[in-house]
Amino acid sequence: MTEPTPDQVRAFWNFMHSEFKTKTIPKSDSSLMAVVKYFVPDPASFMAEFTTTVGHGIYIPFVVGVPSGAYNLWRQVQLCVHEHQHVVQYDRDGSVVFGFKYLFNKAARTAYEVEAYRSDMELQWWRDKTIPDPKWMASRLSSYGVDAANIRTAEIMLISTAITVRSGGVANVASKKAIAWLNANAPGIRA
Amino acid sequence: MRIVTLLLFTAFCGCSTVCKIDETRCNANVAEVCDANGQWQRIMSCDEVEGGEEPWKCCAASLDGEQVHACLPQTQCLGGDL
Repeated sequence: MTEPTPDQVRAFWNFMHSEFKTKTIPKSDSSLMAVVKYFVPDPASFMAEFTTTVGHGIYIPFVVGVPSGAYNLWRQVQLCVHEHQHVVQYDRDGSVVFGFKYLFNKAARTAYEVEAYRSDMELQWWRDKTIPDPKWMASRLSSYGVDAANIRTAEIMLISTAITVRSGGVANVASKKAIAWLNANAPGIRA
Repeated sequence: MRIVTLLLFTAFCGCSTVCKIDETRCNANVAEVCDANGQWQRIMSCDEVEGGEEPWKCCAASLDGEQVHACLPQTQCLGGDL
């Protein structure tokens, strides 16, 4: 199993931008993110470690195709799909409903994030036939202000999802597009 | 105003619970979980799942001792509800 090349990663992001009419914005250059950071518990971590998607804009704390910190090249591919599934949710539910529910309803935010985590699972299964631990994935939601009760629900949702993924199922729109592109353009990165 | 009211109701859902929290079920061909608000929440629609030759069906399944409902290829379904 080989790592994707920087050129493959850039081409992949460009493909996803084209398919979903999105664009990336460096998080550090964004005036929107400069305001938003004052409303989150840990502004430094928010700016340096988290990718944030608003509508069709994806605010990233790294340069696409340049591995840095936790964002190795494969992680950049997975993250691209994860964030584009949020774009699918935004288009499917509408900006107002999606925004309200994501910001103010923890159960809904949990469901939105679990659906996006499904893309992480689907891509990992495509690559090496492994599944990230559902309980570990669910625990990461504490960074999104999700409480223990909703994290337990997320575990159950991710266990259900893992059962489907390890049987070869792909449900997310962003994952289907991504896997089709990867099969055609980067088959060598599979185990 | 109605829309705002509906949005606020949806966002800050204080509606009465309709299910037992963390229970799962198949609702037609959709796997659902009872969320922390006591409302049925979609996990995934099996009609949207692609892969393999068979149609995907919602059914009872388990992983690491956790019994849930999930989408599986038709012939892998256990054949009964939990």
